Amino acid sequence: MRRLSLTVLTLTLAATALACERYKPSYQVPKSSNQGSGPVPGPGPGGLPANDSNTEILLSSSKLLGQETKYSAVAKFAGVTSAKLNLAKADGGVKLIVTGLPSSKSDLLVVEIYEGDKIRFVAKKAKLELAAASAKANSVKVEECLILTAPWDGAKSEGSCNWDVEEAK
Amino acid sequence: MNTKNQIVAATLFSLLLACSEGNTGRVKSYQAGKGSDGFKSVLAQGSGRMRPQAFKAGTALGFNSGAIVATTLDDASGAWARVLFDTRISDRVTAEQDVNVFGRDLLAKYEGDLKFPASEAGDGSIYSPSPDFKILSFQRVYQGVPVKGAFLRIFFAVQNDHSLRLSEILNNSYGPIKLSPVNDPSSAPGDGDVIAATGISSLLVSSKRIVIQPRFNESGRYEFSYASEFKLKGENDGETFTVTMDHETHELREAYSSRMNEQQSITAETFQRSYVLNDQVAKPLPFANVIDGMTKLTTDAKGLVEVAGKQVTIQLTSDKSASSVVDLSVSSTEAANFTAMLGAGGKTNIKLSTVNPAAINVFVAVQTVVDFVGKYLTPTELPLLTSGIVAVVNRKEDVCNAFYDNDSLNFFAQGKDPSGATCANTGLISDVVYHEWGHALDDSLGPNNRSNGVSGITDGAYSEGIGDILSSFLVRAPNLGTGLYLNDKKELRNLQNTRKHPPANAQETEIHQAGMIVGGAFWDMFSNLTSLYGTEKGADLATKLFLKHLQISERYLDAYAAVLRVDDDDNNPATPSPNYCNITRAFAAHNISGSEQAGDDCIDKDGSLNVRVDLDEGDGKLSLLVSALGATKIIACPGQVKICKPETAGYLELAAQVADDALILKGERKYYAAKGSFDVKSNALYTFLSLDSKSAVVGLKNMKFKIRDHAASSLKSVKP
Repeated sequence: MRRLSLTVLTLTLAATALACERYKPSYQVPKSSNQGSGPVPGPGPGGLPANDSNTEILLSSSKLLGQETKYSAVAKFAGVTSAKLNLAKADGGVKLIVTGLPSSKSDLLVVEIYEGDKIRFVAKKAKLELAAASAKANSVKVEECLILTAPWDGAKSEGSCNWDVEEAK
Repeated sequence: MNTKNQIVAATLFSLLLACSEGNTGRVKSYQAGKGSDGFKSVLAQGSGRMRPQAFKAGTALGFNSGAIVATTLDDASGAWARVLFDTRISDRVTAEQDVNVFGRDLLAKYEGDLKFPASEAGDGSIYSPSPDFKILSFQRVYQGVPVKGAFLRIFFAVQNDHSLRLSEILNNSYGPIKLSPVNDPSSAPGDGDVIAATGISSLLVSSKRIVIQPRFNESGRYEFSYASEFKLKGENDGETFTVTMDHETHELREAYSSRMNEQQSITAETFQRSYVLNDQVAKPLPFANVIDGMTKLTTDAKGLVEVAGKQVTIQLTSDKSASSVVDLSVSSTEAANFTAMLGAGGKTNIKLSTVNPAAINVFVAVQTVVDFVGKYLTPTELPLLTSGIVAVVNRKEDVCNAFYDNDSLNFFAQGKDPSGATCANTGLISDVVYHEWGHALDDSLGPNNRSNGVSGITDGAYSEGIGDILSSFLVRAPNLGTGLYLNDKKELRNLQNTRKHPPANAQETEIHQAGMIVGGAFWDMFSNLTSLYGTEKGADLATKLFLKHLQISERYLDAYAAVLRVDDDDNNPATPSPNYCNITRAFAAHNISGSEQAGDDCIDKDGSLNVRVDLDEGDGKLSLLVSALGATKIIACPGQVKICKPETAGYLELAAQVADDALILKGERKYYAAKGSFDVKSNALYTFLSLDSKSAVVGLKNMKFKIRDHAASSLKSVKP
């Protein structure tokens, strides 16, 4: 009986070892996919630990405040396009964490905010420069006045943060 | 068990290939059906042919000159033809005052400039086509004898307190009247004289009156003579002619028929052999009677009706239908009808091969044009929309033709004309149906109209133009009447033309040809407005201007002024209407804009144009996204300018393509982006010019950019 128990235990352990994936503790976000599999989970309510390949984009907007579960976002910078990412709650708005954006580069940042498959808002920030890789994550704030409704229906003129535009009579 | 059925009629918009005819390419010539050559020649020019030939700009004299903003003179008489007033400061008629008395006092005060003595004004009539203005009309009467075509119209803008402000004067007095001593009102030609002149011996005189007839002399000035205007009726077919004969010379001065025909005299140069327009489409059969056993039902606007039986009789008539169709090949009194087997599943499609195609096509085409016009005019404004009209198909006494006569539309069956060419059944050409209904429209609108007991068709060429314009606007194409000759794709007329007033030669005075002058003007206006506002809104605006202007215009020479009145947004002719430049450009191209021209610097506002700051690049450099309805391309220059060339400093070109389509809402609007940046720090103002497909400027909008002062929560303007 004792021999049988040991054999069973060994076999059980072996089977378990073969059946289970090796688990390695990791903070890496799984690679993005173009198969439309939906937003990738972002950070939990507690926030994301700093990491040199992360960029935190804070969307400061009363329109988005409290709406983090309703929307998702795609970030585009210097030729890199992120997957569609979940949003998280933030002070005065929502935030998203994007990994893999090139650093030490100055370029246009575009953030597209979606409700399901439909685009609802877009924000563009010119000449953004992400600092070189360091222990601390980059953080970018996008002001409310930069977050415009999308798509634009062309029905009226719209300015931006620093500029108003109107018909000259 | 009742089954809801949708009865759908297949409507044919092309010729049936019943038989083909060889087209030899020879020149064809068609003459009007009846009468002497001289009579036919005058008849071809129709009514209202005594039109002023030229206008010129005048100066403000005599009137309350501070209120006059523009004047136009009739070159032949030197009289004021048109005067525009600034309604903010023009003469006012209170609600208590008599408009007629005011009008006569005005006439008396300025009869020297109008060359219309107040003593020669007949009874005034007042017409109120809309809540915004009133029209007071006077016919001219010289020593008790009416002067043909001479009138004065005074337009008033209705104010909020119901008082009236003098807005416009339209004057067609023909100037001072001087009659030759030998010209005697009592020496009228006899009935026999005028019947002989027509060359139609079967005519009978039903009435006559003495008139004064103006005409042009060799110097291009007006001269006058006594004439008699006869109404002559045919013994057999009911057609009535109105013929005016000079007392002294017995010359025919004017002749027109009660019938407004689709075609009078045509010369066709070539014919093509192979012709097929296979554009059949299934449309609901609206408001037709359906006899189901002993029960009479009517389909609704969508062709729906609830019936119990499987086989019904369908009549092309009902209390609500736009027309009642009579098929003369079957009956001259009963509405066309046929038996229909109702389809299983509740849908029945009536094929043209199983019924009389002309009857079905006309029935549905009339409903189509009524529905089209009904979007812009109410039944109160146009009772014709609900009163219906009789449409007669398969007439045989003529070919290659169709006509409107008082209360009916008439279409001829397929047949050979005297030259041997075969014409299609005109009831199968929907262009022709719309055109003929256009005559009924003309007859029903305007200060003179059938509701007032008088014919509304006072200018034959205008009426032909109206029919063509209605048809072209409905189908949104300038070429009309394709397929009149069997198997021939050649159009009958084309409104994309360069015809000008006055008609260049005798051939062009024929009413269908002369009608192309105003037809061309309206088509140009249609093109200009669709270039600016896009196809849908542009066509909608052009159609509204066309149909509404008919309420207040009687001659094609007055159409331009009437269109501007309808386009006006402040009821004040002193200020340009929103589409003044595009309208003036269109009418001036055909020489019917009075003396007004639209130069290169006359550019209407493109109200559809809007700008969005797409990206702030910093230091006052902005990338912009622009949206508009119609422009093919947009260009921009710094400042408030009307000329913007590539060599201008700061010039930018915006193409109608935006790289990121997800960011623009697809639909009737277009979007444009430039490759360069706008330097709004250096230039707070930019002018955006909208260009059409030929790079002509059709509109503009001036935009200014201001720095947003976040701290003060107020706006500061950047000094250029």
